[in-house]
Amino acid sequence: MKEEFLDCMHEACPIPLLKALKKLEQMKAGDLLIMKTDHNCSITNVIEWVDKQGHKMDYIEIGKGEWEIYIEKVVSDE
Amino acid sequence: MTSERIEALKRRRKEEREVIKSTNQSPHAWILLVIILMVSMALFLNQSFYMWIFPIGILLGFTLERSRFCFTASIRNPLTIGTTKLLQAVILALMVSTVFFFILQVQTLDVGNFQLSEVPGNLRPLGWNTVIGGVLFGVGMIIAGGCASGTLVRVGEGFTLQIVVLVAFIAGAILAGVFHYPFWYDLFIEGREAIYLPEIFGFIPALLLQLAVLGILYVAARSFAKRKKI
Repeated sequence: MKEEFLDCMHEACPIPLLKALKKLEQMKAGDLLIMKTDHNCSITNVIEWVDKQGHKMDYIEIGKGEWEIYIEKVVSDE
Repeated sequence: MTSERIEALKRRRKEEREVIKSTNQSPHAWILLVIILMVSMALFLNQSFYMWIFPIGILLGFTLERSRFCFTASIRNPLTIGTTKLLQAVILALMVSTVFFFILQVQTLDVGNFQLSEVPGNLRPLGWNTVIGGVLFGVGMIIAGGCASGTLVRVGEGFTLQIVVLVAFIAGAILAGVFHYPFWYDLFIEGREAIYLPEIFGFIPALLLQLAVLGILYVAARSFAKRKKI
């Protein structure tokens, strides 16, 4: 089980999500991805997309106006 | 949806970093409230109409920021990542404003006999200029990462990249919008009639037609999101 880190500071939508999308493709089930962003709106995009894919996720505000998003890759049985 | 491992990761990351002391922001809020009230008072003394517009604008901005509502994402997300939550929200907002504009227009106009120029709102003739303008605006907002309201909200939020966009946005609005407007007006708008649906179908049928079209778009957006898997 690996842990990946993505620095998405100062990047506007949809770059953070597209980066995460590429990274998650290379990851295995159970791996964790940490994303750091200062873009409030990209959190909504990530939440909606991750929910649709069935991965697990949550986020916290780690600094003033800086968030870390945590995603656990889940591979569905289909 | 969270999981046990994500909760564990959250706890660990909080410990690893120096935990930020969550600052109490209520003094800021009170100071802002006082400033808003003072500006409203000043407007009341000069132009009482704007006394209401100003706080409504503040509330709209607050709602946009808190809800992370984004018109750009509503158009972009269906194509890039196959999600349509925001697009559905925009369609719902259009339905709500359709109903309220209907009420406003019916109350303002003499329904049997009115001139297009009397209609409250912003009626402009439709044409290829609309399509070309839409595509130009769309390309710009995707690259810049925000339309007009989105850019303003993010500048207020402190997202530094968007300040560059704001400068360009103001420059564009002044150059094309203010100085060149008469040129574009003569080229595309002058001498052409705007299409106003209630004039063609009558008020109630036009309302129902518009709501039906928006309803179909809403259902289509929802089923698009279900089918599209990226």
